[in-house]
Amino acid sequence: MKKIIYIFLMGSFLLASCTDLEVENKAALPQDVVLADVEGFEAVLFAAYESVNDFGYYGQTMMIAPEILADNMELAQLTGRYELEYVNALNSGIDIWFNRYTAINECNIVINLINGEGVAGDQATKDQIVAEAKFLRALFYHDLARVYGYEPGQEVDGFNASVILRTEPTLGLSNADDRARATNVQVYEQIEQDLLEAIPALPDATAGAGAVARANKSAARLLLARVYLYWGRNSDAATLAQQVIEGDGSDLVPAADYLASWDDAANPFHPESVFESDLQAADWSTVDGANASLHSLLMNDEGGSQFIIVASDELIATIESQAGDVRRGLFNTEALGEEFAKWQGNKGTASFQENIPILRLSEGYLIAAEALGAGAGDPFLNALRVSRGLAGGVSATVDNVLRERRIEYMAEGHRWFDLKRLGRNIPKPAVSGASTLPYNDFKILPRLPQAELELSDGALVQNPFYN
Amino acid sequence: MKKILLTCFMLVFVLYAWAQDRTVSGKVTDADTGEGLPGVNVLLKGTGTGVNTDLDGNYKISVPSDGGTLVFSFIGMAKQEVSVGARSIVDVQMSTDVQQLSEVVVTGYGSQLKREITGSVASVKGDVIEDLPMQSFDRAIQGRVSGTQIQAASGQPGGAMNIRIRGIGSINSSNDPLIIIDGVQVAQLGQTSQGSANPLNSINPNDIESIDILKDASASAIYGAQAANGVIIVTTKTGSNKGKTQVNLSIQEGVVQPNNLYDVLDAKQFATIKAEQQINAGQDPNDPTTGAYALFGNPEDPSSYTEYNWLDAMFQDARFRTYDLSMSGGDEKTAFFFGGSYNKQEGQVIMSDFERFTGRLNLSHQATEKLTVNAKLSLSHIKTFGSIANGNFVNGPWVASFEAIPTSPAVDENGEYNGYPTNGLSHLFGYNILQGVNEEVRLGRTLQTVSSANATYQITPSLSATAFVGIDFSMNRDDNQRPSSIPAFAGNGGSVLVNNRRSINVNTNYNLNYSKTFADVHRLKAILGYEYKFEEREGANLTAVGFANPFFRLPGSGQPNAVGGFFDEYKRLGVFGKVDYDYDDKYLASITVRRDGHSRFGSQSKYGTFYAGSIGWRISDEAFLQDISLIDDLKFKASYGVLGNAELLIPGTTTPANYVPQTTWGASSGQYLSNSPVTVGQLGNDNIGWEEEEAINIGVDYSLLNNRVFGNIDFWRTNNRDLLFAVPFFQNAGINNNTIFDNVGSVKNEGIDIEVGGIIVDRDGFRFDSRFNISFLKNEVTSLTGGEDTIYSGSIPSLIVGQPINFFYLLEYAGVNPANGRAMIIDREGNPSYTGDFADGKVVGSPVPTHFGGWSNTFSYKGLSLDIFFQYQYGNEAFNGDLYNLLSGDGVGNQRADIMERWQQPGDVTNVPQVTPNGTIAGVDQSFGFIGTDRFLSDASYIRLKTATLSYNLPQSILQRANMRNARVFIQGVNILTWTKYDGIDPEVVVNNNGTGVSSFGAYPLGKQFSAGINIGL
Repeated sequence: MKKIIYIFLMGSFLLASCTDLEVENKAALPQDVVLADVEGFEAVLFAAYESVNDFGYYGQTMMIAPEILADNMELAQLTGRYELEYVNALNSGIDIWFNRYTAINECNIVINLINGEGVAGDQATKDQIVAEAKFLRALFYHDLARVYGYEPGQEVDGFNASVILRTEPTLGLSNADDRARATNVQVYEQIEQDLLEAIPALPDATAGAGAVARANKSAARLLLARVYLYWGRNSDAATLAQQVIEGDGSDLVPAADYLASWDDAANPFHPESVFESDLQAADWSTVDGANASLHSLLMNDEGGSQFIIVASDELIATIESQAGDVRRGLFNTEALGEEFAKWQGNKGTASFQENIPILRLSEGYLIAAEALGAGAGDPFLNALRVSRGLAGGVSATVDNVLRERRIEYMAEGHRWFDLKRLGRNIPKPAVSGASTLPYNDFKILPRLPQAELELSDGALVQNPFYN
Repeated sequence: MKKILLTCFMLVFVLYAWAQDRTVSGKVTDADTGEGLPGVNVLLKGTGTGVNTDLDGNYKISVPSDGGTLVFSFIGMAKQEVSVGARSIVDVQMSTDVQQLSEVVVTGYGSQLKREITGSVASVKGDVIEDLPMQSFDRAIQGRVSGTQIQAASGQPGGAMNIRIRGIGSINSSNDPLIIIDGVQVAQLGQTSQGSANPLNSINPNDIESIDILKDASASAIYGAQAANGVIIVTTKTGSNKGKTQVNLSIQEGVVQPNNLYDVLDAKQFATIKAEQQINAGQDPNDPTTGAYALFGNPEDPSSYTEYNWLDAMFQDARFRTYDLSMSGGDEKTAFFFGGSYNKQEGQVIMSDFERFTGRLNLSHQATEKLTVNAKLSLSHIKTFGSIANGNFVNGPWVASFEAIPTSPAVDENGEYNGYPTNGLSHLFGYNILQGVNEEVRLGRTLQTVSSANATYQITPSLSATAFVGIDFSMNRDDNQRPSSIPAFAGNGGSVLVNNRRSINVNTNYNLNYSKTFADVHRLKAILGYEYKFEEREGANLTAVGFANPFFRLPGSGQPNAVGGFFDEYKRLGVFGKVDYDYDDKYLASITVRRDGHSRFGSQSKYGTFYAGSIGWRISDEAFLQDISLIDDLKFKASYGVLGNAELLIPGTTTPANYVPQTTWGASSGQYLSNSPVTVGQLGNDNIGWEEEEAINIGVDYSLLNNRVFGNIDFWRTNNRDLLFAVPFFQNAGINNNTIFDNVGSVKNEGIDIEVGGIIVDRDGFRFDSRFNISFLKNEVTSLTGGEDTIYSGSIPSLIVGQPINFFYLLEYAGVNPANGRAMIIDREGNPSYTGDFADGKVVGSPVPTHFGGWSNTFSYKGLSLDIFFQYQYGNEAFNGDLYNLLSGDGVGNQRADIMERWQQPGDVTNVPQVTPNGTIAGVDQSFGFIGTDRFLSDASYIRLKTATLSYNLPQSILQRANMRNARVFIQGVNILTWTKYDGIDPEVVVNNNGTGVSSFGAYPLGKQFSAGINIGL
């Protein structure tokens, strides 16, 4: 009997040592720890910044899709990628929905919570971080708006639904309320408000300097100028654009240096950049560069690149239609066609890597030219043309500006949006076999993810003709 | 009650004392060998009097003057009842119990005789799977047990299997059964990620004594929260306390051949198709730079290209060998089993293999009269080299070998690797697959032990206490070197990834076992226990790039590139109890209750209670059936219970979701300006609780015609509810992992499991045994989150109420318009159309089979034996994702040979559209790639001659001269023949990605195996 008692005592001792259900999640922290100080909020802001160079955003999609959906690019090799976009097939549009709302939530966290009680850090730093988050939120909402909706004034059949506006953070189920799409004007007003509030608190940054990797006054102003131009508020656009640029072309890369300006080894940040996303080795796995980078998709690189896309014959013809354009030099002639040499992927030692310019000063010139129109806009258009080796003396008509934009931003993802905001039909390269996409075709707007509609209890409306 | 019991005792005692007055003796022999059987239990029926036979099989027992009835029982032998009458010598011959009613079945925390069980339990004995050339036992028992669908997830040596017991009950949680090896609840993780790996590889199947599969609630409820997916209990061999030490040596050697590889285009056909693509698109194949003749060769001019056969270069007839040595024995107090094995199997893909060492020591020792201690120790080392697992993108051999351009040789005339492809186009990421498999290092090494120790103290003859501790510990290291000599990796100077993982999984339990028979007819068994389990997994990995020389193998020789790591843990505890009662072996009942707590759940619902009850009626013991000789044994049984499932997974992964209640703020990937970003990863839900399965089973066990026909039939239904579901919520809410775990939705499974066995011929030494099993299965989602009837993945339905848990949602293909070569589908109005949208799609099939099973046949004559085993499944479809590329008619890669049936001119009637460079005609993708069509969906039902073994046992006369106990030589084949309509390589290895339309992309099929071996016992 004594033995039995002994065994049971042992047993109960063992039991007592094995009863807890407490576990540790070493990979995560609770909100109050993460957001205790201003550095924590800055880390969240960095998550939003980092997302800018996602392959699903400016890292690839936003640079290539708007070109190949229009008439600047030809698919030289068929790997399954962009094949549907190339012919504007059904369900082939840009999808940045999820990708951007995640980053918007990060901005919302920063904007709404950083001034809460007990957050350590000085107010000036907090104010700047909030301003940066507002700049990013404006950029993200404008991209969502121009992808998923019509620009104000360019609605087809009066369809003015844009995207869902969320300006409060989602931190639990209760925040994830069912919302309808705001109108395009409501979204543009929110973007304007964010930028107007951000500009005073943002620092200055010199174009091409390392500081343009973060939001700054010039970047916010240039973005606001772009937003006004899309909005049709041309005089505001011209005003903002002129606040950013010198106006005489002195802040543009001279024609003689233009080609070299795209060499990432010499210029990690493009000399005209006012906002450019920083990319480093840690952002990618070892094969991401070869699989998905701009350099890989566009250039024939010995190091295992994809090289699936070349310039369209129409783009080359447009460039060659006027003598002296130094940008003709941004191509190499390959067996498969004219290779874009803009994304050289030679920043630092990591192959395929380079920073991604989002806003360049030249856009300020082209916005000013277009917004002021023939006459008043001419000096701006010609300043840019001269710095690209072209003759001056050209009138700033919409068509002339559009031609310039097409060439200046080839492989930078402007073409589709420029045509769309002006309500133009979308021409296609002849070899694609696709015919011109009329502006009133429903495929000008992409499908909203079906799951979003199913989850929304009817508050969310699909773009027309998708079912 | 106590009084009654006491009275009963007294009565028994009086009867006992009064009744016996004479002695009967005799000898029990084995009917097969004629040798005496030691240890046979001889019981005087209706009393507690019993003796065991001695070493020679002799016994002596006191009986009443009228003789009474003696009951002889021995494990593995048919029980016999013999009326003594006036005899004083009763000799008995015992024969093998084919239905094994006296077989001991290992159930939760104990064991029961098969005849006592009222639940649904299936058993496979070790000898059934012995010497099968398979690395893990799950592979070996495939098709042998009803209600248990086992399917290879990969044909790679040592590859993973999917085991589904009685359907698929969970959407987001694991559907894997709980697997217990010698009491150790093994983890399903911790294996290499270099290729497909099976967590059961660490156990040598030849070390296994028995595998018991607990299928219904009554059998598995004692495992409470782990029981919903069924339980598989594996018991390894132990030594014997009697007789001399036995040695077993088994050697086997064989080949594996690729089976049914795709027939791809030869160079001339290939060049023809490529030129035709261009012509169809209005391009000039003669163009000196972009024309097909320059790029791929001119089909009319063989000198314009060099033909290369990628399949010959990539696949091989592989060798495998197995050596297995074991020793077992013991003395009065101690018994041991000691085993070691070595197994090496090459893959069907060149430069790939699987190599394993296992060692085992099982010991049991009677320390005192009352205390027994046991230890079961195992250690294994597994090394996999080479091939990539299923569907691993284009640098997997099962994709690239078929697609590689046949006019782009892998090597030049000097044997040096060419860049791929030689025409300078972009294809397969510029990756020369032959160079890849030869130069890339993909090495996974796992050291694992699944070991346990326990002590049992016999407190009283009917009450014992057991303490158990078991550990499943593995260390795993992966090396992946991508040398810069491969052009695709030259850009970053080559890379080396090193990944170290460590997984520790401990379970311990303490229980009291009570077993007593009252008044000879009331048999009571009870168990009460406590269990605690924790699992901790962690790992760290690092990548270096920029090596000066491609032959450097260590990360330190290059530049740091990336680091990563993880840590995951959970804890669980439970108390459980079970009572089994039977009255005179005739009326049986059992009740089980378990309460479990789990760290994975919210503070509101950390604990859950699970239970089951069952009843049985052995009608064959009733007096009114006693005289019917047709019926030997007939038992009806029914069970009901509620079980749990806590194995919640992170959606789309096999990683447990361990921290569901918490909202997690963690580092996000990448950097910005060299700063580490932080973001919200997952929203928490503190209300999350258990997934429940309500299970009902009604069945019958039968043995008829003098035990010539036997088996069981079970009707069952399970309702799984409160499914742990990663409920998607608005993407526009902006959470990285835009789901929240909640208990929603339900799934119903129902089916019939039938097993029939029979001795068809048993005459003149010739014997033909046959066993057949079939399971009928129906699976249906019965409700989803928030009353929705459809859940979408993107724009494609992934779950629909009323449909099975997995289905294919595709456009219905309507063939090619003979007038113009354009592919058509049937639109939502039922009309043929050139274009289709998501809403035109429909559910066109399901990968869940409606029935499955196996059929084994054994023919034996004297020492010669032939085993033929078929395995089958029926009623499921599979989408062959390979064909999406291999029959696309576009691009620059090679195609399957039947692309030659493409549409060429008006009037051609075919299923294959006109070929074009980009796969579009008039701007319409001919494959409808955003959703897919059912063109590549086919019936994946199959019957497979899974194994055939011809063996010969050397006769005793030779054995005695050679001083051997037994010797067996055998030849066997695996996956020898397959009958199927599946349009692909292997209908068994078809991984389905839940309605996405992409199914078996790049799957590693099973090969044919042939081997010969010898098994010697000393």
